[in-house]
Amino acid sequence: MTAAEALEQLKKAGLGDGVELFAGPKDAALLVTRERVKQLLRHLRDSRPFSCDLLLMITGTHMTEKRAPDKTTPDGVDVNGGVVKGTTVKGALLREAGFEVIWHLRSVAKHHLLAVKCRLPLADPRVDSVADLWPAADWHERETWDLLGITFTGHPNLRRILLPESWVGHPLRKDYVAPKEFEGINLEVDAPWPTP
Amino acid sequence: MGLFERNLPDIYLTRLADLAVNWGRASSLWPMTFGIACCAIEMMAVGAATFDMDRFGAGAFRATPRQADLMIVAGTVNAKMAHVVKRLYDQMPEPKYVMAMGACTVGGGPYWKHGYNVVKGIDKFVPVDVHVPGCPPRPEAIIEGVRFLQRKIMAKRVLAQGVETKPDFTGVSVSPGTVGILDPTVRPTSTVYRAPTALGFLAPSGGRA
Ligand code: SF4
Repeated sequence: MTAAEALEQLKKAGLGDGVELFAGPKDAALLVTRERVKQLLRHLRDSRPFSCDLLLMITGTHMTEKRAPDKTTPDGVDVNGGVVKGTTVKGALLREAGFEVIWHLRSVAKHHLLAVKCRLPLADPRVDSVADLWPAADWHERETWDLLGITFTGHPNLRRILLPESWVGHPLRKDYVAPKEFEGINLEVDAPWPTP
Repeated sequence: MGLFERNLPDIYLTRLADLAVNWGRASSLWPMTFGIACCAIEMMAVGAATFDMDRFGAGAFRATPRQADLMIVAGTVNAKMAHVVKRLYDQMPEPKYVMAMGACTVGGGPYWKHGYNVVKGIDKFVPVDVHVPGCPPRPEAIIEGVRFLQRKIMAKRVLAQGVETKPDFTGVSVSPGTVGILDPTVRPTSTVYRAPTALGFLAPSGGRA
């Protein structure tokens, strides 16, 4: 089942609002608003045509802003022979900066893969936890929280999983600055090696 | 060596005793069973039949730091693991030696630039005796590192006072160029392994070339 077919099915079942098709460069996915995430994933797990009984992974991304290239008009000459400076128009905003959470689902019975995406604003990255739907989601959500700081509301135990408990910050964010020292362990890079 | 540690006059007898002690230490290095990342695979290979580090007296991998002399730090050490490495080092009895195996432990390796929690070289928190670079180093390089370490141990003073002599590294390299601390102009004199030579005069004739 492709994402487009899945969307058809969802529309038939009356669950189509808040879900759109994300036509990626390779594989299509379902793009869903964060209010609908839990309901949609529960439907994908339980309803017969989907039966996505296996959650393969949950990942997150920090997306930077994406713009079309700037347009610059060349310098011109006005009626008196003076030079008119060209103007630069900023490219249109194609994608806002923000987080994206992706759930990869698989149906063992029906042999299909589905990806569900959700965009979250930078200032308030929170989304519903699905740890009660698939127990596998527990650690994946902890990892996503650990590295990106996306809060999964309703998670039973949202602690760091890879980094030490006392670590500060979320390292996969684009604005993260690596620490120079952690609990007495020097993490600094030595002076650059001399060029031969 | 407690009370007598580097405390006795520097005479022929104490030097001879030193040689005996050092020979014992160098010829039975017991490494700790302790692998952190991908490099540990090569460390396992070096303990297995093909490369067989036991030929050099360093194949008895102990499962506890309290029985080990040599800590081969094989793998990426990150901030969380660094405390464990340090504690294991502290738990080893003296005399103890550390081999930094692989680019990660030598200087951060592939995580040198963007590894936000990788320690850029374990010599930032434990003293290192040999650095074995490579990603991962070949098993021969580890053997070579062990042999460097044995030469270093042979040059130590245990009972006798005085300045330590410089270790003699000639003929150590089994595979030239794999261990970075060797002068590249020095070529192995022989590819046949000989036991550390200080007590060589005790060996039956033909034991020394
Ligand atoms: S040096 Fe290379 S092989 Fe060894 S632990 Fe680091 S990344 Fe792995």
